[in-house]
Amino acid sequence: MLTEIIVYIALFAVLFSSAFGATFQIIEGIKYLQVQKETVDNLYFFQSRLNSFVQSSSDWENVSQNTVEQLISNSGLSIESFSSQIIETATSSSRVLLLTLGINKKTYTFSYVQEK
Amino acid sequence: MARLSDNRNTAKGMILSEVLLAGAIISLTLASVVIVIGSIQSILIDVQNGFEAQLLAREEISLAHLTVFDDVASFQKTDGFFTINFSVSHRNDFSMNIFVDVSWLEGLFQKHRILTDQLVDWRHASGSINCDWLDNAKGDLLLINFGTLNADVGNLITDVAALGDFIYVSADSSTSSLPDLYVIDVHDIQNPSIVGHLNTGPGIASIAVSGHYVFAANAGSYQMQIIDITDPINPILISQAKLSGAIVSGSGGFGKSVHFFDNKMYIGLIKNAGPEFFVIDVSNSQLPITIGSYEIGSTVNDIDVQGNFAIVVTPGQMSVLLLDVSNPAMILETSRTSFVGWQTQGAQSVEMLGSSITVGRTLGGFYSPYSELMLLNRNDISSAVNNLKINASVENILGFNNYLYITASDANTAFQILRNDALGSPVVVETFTLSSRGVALTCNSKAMYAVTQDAQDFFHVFSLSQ
Repeated sequence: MLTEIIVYIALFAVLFSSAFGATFQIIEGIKYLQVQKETVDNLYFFQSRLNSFVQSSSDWENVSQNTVEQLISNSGLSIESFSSQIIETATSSSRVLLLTLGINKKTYTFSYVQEK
Repeated sequence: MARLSDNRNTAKGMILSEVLLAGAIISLTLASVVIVIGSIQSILIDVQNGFEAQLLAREEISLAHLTVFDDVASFQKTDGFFTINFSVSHRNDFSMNIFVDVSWLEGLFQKHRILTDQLVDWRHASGSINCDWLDNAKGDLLLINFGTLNADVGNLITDVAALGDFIYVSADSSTSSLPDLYVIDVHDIQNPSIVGHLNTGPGIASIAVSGHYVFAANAGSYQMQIIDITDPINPILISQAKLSGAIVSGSGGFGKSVHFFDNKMYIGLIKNAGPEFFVIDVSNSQLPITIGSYEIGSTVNDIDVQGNFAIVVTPGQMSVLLLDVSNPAMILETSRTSFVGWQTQGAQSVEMLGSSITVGRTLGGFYSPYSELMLLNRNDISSAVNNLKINASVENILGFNNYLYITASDANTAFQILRNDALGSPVVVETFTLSSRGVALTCNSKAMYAVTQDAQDFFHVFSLSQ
């Protein structure tokens, strides 16, 4: 009888600890997913704002870290690094802006084309 | 007692099985939740990778806009765990479609983000024909006017070129008093009409148009002519010149072919003791200047130019020559090739779209086993990558996307539409009978126009079948 009780208690202990552990992991997972989803949503939202801003800017010299940070400020993202490069060649009537931004420990390069 | 003991045993067993069942259900539930979470996470990772992939694709497209038009080429490279496939497909002489496929492995599946764009060589587009409607037409054209116009009796039609709503048709007659340029108004493609003409002399072998000018290769000793078409109804010959170095003897040294590109006329002559290929700067149309020449050693039947390269075709043993014309003062022969059966089949026409070169040849005789259409790759023209038997001389070729439109010497198949299949092999999609030998073709924003050799019923109009 005692043995049975001990076995049951052990069984329930294992079962419930597993269940609690798994539930805890699931909650953590859901939280992580939520953060990840927000990050992805924010990236698309930010890209949309950045596209509008850059494409409406006639002078790309105005596209600075400050202006980009203002765009990103209410999107839940933060810029960890910033670099901007305008490329022109003698043979092309276009010029290209490459904005390389470090966001959430990843580096993204946003590119734009404009007629000279 | 024995029964009581059995009952107790049974009750005990039920409790254990219930516990195990509960455990299994909980496990299943948890496993399901874990799987769902895993799937959602996979989707989110997929979305994030897709975001990065589209940024990479955009970057490649942006950088392509900076590349010299003629240097834009297909390539493959990797960036992290992304594979970038960049491919180009020429629509016509001055525009190309570009496709960027960024792919990555997501579990067992290969995921793709594909972006497309179009590059236009605006600098050289002004001298080129605009036939965007062919994007939809493809091989589905309808002959809406069969031989609606007549030129002067005895005039042999030689070439055609389009600019806006006017079509220019050249002719070469043995009677020097006949016109050698006709202007056709095609505002209403159902009712084209000849609205102007000009007699420049012996006859015109070939024409090209750009801006306000027709650039002509004259079948006479003044091989180069420029005709002002500011008023299309009243074309005016504003300059002509004998090309220095060409030795005119009989018909040798007469103008034969012409191509306009980047403010330059590229003129090909009939075989003579001097050069047969000339480059003329026509930035000032009143004062054309010869800036380069090259001795081909044979008649130059046709010319096409793209970027720094000119391709010329001849009736001689060396059927095709690829020339580097980046410095017209020092033209360099890059490569040349001879086709099987060259003894009886000369190269007659050429079209270059990107690295694809299509050469049309004459019919070598009724029993000739050799093809009249040869497809080459510009990077190595030593051997044809594909060929097709047309059973007629291929007089003129116009390429658009993966379609080839040709005029052929047999009136029964004088206009043909060919499509390059997935392997780049041409197949005939449709053939049309025209009034006589097919000579040349062109198109504008409304329709395609094919001219036939005989003066009677020489003008044919094709448009979308819908």
